[in-house]
Amino acid sequence: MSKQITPDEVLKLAKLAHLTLTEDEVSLFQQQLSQTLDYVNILDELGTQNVRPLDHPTDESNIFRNDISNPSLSAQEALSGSQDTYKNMFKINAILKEQ
Amino acid sequence: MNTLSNLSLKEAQEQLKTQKITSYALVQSCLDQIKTYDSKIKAYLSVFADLAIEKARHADKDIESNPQVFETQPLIGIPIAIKDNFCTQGLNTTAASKVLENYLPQYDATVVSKLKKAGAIIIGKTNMDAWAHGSSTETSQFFTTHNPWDVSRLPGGSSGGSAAAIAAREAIVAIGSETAGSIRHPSSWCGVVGLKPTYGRISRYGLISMCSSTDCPGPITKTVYDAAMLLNILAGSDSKDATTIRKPAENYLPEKIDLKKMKIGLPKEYFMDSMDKEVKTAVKQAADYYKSKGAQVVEISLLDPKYAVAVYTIIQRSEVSSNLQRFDGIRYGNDRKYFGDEAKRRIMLGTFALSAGYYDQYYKKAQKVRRLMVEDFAKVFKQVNLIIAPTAPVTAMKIGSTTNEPMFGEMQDILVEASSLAGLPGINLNCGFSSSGLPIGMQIIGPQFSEKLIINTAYTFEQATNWHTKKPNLII
Repeated sequence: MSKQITPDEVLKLAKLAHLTLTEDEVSLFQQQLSQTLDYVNILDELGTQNVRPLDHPTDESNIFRNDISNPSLSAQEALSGSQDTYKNMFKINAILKEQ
Repeated sequence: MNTLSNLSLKEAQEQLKTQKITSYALVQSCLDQIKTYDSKIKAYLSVFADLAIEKARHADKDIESNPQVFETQPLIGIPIAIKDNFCTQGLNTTAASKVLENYLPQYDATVVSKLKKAGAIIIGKTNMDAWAHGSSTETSQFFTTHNPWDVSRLPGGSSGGSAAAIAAREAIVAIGSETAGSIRHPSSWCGVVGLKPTYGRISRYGLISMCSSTDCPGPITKTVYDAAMLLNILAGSDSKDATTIRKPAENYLPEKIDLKKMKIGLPKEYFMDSMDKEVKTAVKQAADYYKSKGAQVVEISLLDPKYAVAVYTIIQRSEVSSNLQRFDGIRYGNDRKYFGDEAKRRIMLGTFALSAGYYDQYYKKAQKVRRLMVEDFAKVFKQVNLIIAPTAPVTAMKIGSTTNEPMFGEMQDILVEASSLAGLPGINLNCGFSSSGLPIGMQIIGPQFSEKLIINTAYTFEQATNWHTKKPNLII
């Protein structure tokens, strides 16, 4: 059954994905996402009842190593791409409000 | 006439070894080619002319003082183009997105550090679809690359800049990355060799993640031999990428093989009615070559590739929505307002496919069909050694073809997606030209870890034909 995405769903997805959309984008994506979902519904033609999902093409399991630290980037190097830093830290907007 | 940039890697290495040419002349020749043609082709996002010249002068001194240097640095003095989604320390790495317009990585990708260690000189970073989302370079947020065989046409993608740079002889060899066709597809449209190894054969460390369960670096070159030379340098496990294969790499340099022992399959579902007739004919003629040399060529049946398009669409969007979540403009790069339409569309669809209520219906279903595809190939490889098929359904399309086509990339990559999702190795090589002079590519696909067989089989064809020696009229 084809799934039609509504404008509200587009806005909700954008919020979840931290994207800001213009009105035109909302209507464009609504149409295009519905169109794409319509296409992928062809997978329902294939029976997969007892098939295990595949995460990884080589079907590798976890790879373990000893927990030994190695030389890494210095704080200065790690911060070099940031536009806003404070005392060797990344500066971000507050996420909690004062009571 | 500019000739040195026409050299294959093998030829350039031999001539540097015998000191018939200098690295300086070789680098200068590629830079001249870029200066003359890249305003029309736009293969490069950045060119490091001064740095490359300086490195070339060093390389020449090293070769002169120690002619044995090739044993430890087989690529010494060789100019190479790198797709702009591989991190290069201190050199712009944009993934063709405005989000990373001013990003200077603090470290090298493993691919880049291995190339540098082998002595290669990075001449520039090549254009691509932004974040490698697409098969045209039209989603690049900077500009579209033009196909050297016809500049009104697309080079394919997403590694379109690397493929165009090799076709236009603007580098000796190049590096691309493939998630589902991004090496083979542009190589097909640009008439060059593109090798996509088994998933995990080459480290992904420092390759900007797109769809982590299929992303795979690989060489784009003028000849099959060159692709093997680069694979020899790049293959191997990497402690920085836990998904790399532990199995030791081999010596991939081509060797003669006895085609009489080979059984090659032509999947009937990969010669669709809707495809370009000239493409089908050229690939079937290539298969006839193998038959004429004693190989058994049989028709086989694979799962309809339309299902691979659907699986890929869901898996890729889902992984993209997760991988691109990290670009927040805090630690590096610009904020999320800078994403282009294609990235936004993919992030949103992936977010949807992974969301509560739809996860089983879309993501899990796609993962299950992905296993069916792996099993489908395994069954076929019990009957045949290798598969031969067209790489792309049509030859290079006109600039602008992607407008209002949100599934353009998927439909162009329909013949390469299943093998990518199954983690299989494949190579594209030129097997002819259309009546309008555009290159036609065939792909040879094998089971996991069959790179050597694929290379040997491709090499045999290349040695017997002269398609790979043809150059675009633009640069003759």
